Order: sequence, then structure tokens, then C-alpha cells
Amino acid sequence: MNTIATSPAPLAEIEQAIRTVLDPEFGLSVWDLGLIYSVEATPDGVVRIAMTLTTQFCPAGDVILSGVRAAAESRSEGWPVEVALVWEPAWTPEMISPAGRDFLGWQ
Amino acid sequence: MVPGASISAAPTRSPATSPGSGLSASPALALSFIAVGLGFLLATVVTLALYPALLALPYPHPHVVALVHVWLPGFLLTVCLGAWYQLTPVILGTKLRGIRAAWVHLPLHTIGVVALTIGLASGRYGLAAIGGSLVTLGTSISAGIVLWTFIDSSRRDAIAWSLPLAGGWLAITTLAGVVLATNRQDPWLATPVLALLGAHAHLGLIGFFLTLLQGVTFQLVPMFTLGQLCRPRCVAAGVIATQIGLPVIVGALAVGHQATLIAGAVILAGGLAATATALATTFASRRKRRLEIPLIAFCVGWGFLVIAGLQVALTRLRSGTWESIGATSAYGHLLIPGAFTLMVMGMLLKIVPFLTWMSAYGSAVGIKAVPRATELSRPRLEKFWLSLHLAALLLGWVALGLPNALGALMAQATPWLLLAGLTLYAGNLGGILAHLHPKLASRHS
Repeated sequence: MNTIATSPAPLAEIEQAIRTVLDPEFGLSVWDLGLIYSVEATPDGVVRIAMTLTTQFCPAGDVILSGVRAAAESRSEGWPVEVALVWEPAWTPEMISPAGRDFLGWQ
Repeated sequence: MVPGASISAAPTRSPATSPGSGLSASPALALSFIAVGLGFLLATVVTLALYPALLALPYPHPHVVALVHVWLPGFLLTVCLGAWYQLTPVILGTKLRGIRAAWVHLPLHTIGVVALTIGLASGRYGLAAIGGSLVTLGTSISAGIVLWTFIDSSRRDAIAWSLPLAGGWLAITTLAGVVLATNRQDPWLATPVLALLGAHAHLGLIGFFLTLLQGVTFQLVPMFTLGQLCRPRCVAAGVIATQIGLPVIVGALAVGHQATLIAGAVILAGGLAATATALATTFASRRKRRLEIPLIAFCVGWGFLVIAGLQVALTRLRSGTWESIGATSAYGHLLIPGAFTLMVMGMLLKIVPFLTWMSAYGSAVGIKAVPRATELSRPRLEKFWLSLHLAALLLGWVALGLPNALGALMAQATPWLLLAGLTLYAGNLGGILAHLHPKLASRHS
């Protein structure tokens, strides 16, 4: 059962932690790849992360998901973390950040 | 921030929770097959080092047939089976069925290939038939596993269909091989041996390897390049043309009917052109612009395959048959160490680092810094391997066309170049797999 934390959720720190999780193939942060749709603290005291994968057939999907969860939990200061894998809207390369596009040589 | 606050990395969305990716498949099975395949690669390297003149022998020579079997069902097929077991659940979006049976497949295949090649090299065709039967039992198991997983899945595009189709052709190929071996032991078929050998080789190369590559390529290339599949109809056309063209070709080869053979070769060449179109547009759509050596090798392999397809279609159209054993050998060089080897070895340099990374570092993601999957391989070794392999192919082709002292010298140099390249390749893969050792993994994380 979740307990509502008394201190505010450290969302900025959680974002920084998520940025350290890299896609194993491209070496690009899952954040810059545009895989993280939202990070929010819900009224029932949970940090909920909505994320997607570049394809429903991503073989590293489970590893990336558990990596994001582990990274977020390392900075959540006791807030329970939930990671929801979503497919709507579908990921497209246009969701890659400008820094990510530079990294990939796609501009 | 307080409860109810949020950070949005993209425009506001209302996510619908998914049950999960469900794509995790243990890399242990795939890596075990790949490790056995590398053992056969090593056997090839040692054989070439001990007997470099093997490559200069005509292709029907028993020792060449044995070497080709160490290379094809030994090395290329074994690593492909590992990749196949790993990719099937990923592509079909469901769990791999019959994993225990897949583990049984590994020793059956290994023992079978060893017995098969020893039997072929020594002319003991009874032993070759026993080895082939074990391999066939294994390929039947794998075909059943993939078909079962396919039936469980809802995906029905050309990429998904390529998996069970390739499995079916593989089982037929190995069964045909057993028939061939028993026929050599105690002849009972009226058809010439070389015609049957050609039919068996095309069943395996086109039926299994080409069918699989015509589908799986369009799953892997977008994944490795952040590209998009732009011409799904061309992909489907390629797979369909192969399924129609192959039985026509194999039947015509077995009975020696030239007109039917030409028709089959034209159908197949049309399918290859459709696949090549889809591949070119998929590569053009890539967001990761720089192509790494493994993908360059893969593309060069596809290029060789298209050339081989055109070569066979044009030759058959012009003269109805191959002009000489040398011309058949050149075609074989283009197809086996050229096209299929480069495609499989190139893709292996993407798949092995990834699987190793999953095993060695997957559980540490998000907890501590881990290397990228692509950092496990050494680009310089990849580059040297590809350069040496291409040089060996070029030298080999030129040597086949030069029936003089210079040609003989080139033929002698070819296996050494190939050997040097393969040694670097095997060394690189060994270095990648070494990350599975806990001490090395902890040093890198």
C-alpha cells in the first residue's frame, strides 16, 4: 500500500536520474530519445512515469523499463514509483530532442 | 513539487497503461547457439590454416563439400538459429514456445553437424546420413517451436511470415540432405548427384537464409538505424516471390529442366529486386546517419546477393546452363562466403554485443553507469576483418578467372587472407563475449 509522502516529490532530480538511462544501441538518453512522455506526482502519493519504446518489438524493452524505474527510485526520496508503458501516441523519430538529433547526426 | 505536479518531456498526453512489453527472452539460449557456431568458425579457420589448398579444389570434391558444411550448417546456421530463437518472440510479440525443446536442439545440432562433416570428408555417407538425421530432428524441433509461437501471435505481415516459412524450408533442406547422403551410400535415385546437390544447396540458401533475411532485415535495420519500413509491399513481394520461385528452381534443378529453371530464376530475381528496393528506402530513412561496419558488411552482402541473382538469371537466359565448374564455383563464392556470410557475420556483430550487454549489464541499468552495447565491439577489428574478407573474395574471384601461374598464386593467397580476417573476427567476438565474465563486467560498470 502506498503512503502519501509528506515532502514534495523531487521530480527535477528524478528527471536527471532518468537522463542517465541510455539506449544500449544508440547511447542516447531515453529522455533525449523522447521515450519519456510524462513524470508526475499523483494525488495519491505516487510518482508515475509514462514512457514508450521506439517499437513494440524492442528487445531491450524490459531492461529499459526497469532501468528507468531503478533510476527514478534512486532519487525519489521514498516516493513510490510507477512506470507505465504506453503506446499511444506512438513514438516517432520527431520526438527526439534537438540534442539527440545532433548526437545521431540527423539534422 | 507536490502531489499532482508533473514534468512533461513532450506535449501533454493521456497515457493508456500497457500490460508490459513482454519481450524479455533469456539471451542464454541464443548465446549458447552462437558460441557453438563460433566453435565451428574456429574449426573452419583451423582447417583452412592446415589445408589452404582446399579453396582451389572444384566444388564437388568431398573435402570442399565437408568444408562447406562446417561453414553453412556449422557456423552460419548455428548462429542464425541462436538469433532466430532470440528474435522470434521479439518480432512476434509473444513468448517463445517450447524453450526446453530448443535446448535439446542444441546438442542434437552440434553432434549432428560434427558427424555429418566427418562423414562427408571421409566418404562415409552412412555416418553423414546419421549426422544429417540428427540435424533434421533438430531443425524439425526448431520449425515446430517457431510455428507454435507464430500461431500464438497475432502479427501476420511479411516479416512475421518469414519466420515459420524459413523454418519449414530448413527442415525440408536437412531432410533432403539425408536423402542425398543415403543415395550416395546406396544409390537409388536416377538423378545425377550434382543436380541433387544443387537442389539441396538452393533449398537451404534460398529457402532458409534468404527467406529469413527478406523478413527479419526489415525488423532489424529500422531498429539499428532508427529508420522506418517505407515499402512494406515490396517486402511482401520479395518474400512471396521467393516462396514461388524456390520450388520452381529446386524442381527444375533436380530434373534438369532448363526452361523451368529460367522461369524460377526470373521470379526469384524479381523478388530480390523488390527486397532491394525496400532495403534501400529503409536505409535512406535512417536517423542514425553514420553506418557502422556491421551494417556496411550487411549491405555489401545484400549487394552480392542481388549480383548473384542477376548473374544466374542472365547466364541461364543466355546459355541455359553454367559454362564450367569454374563458373559454378565463382557463383558459389559470390553466394556463400560473399553474400550470405557477410550478411550473417555483419548482423552477428550487432546481435552478439547486444545479447552480451543484456546478460552482463542489463540488470545494472539505472543503478550504475554501464557501457553501450555498441562499445563492446572493437570498430578497428571490425574494419580489418571486413577489408581482409573483401580482399579475399576479390582475389578468389580473379584467381578463378586466371588459369595461369598468377591465378594459382592468387588462389594460394586467398585462404590466408580469409583466415586472417576470420581470426580477427573471432578475436573480436571472443572479446565481446568475455564481458559475460563477472570480473570484466564489473570493471566496465
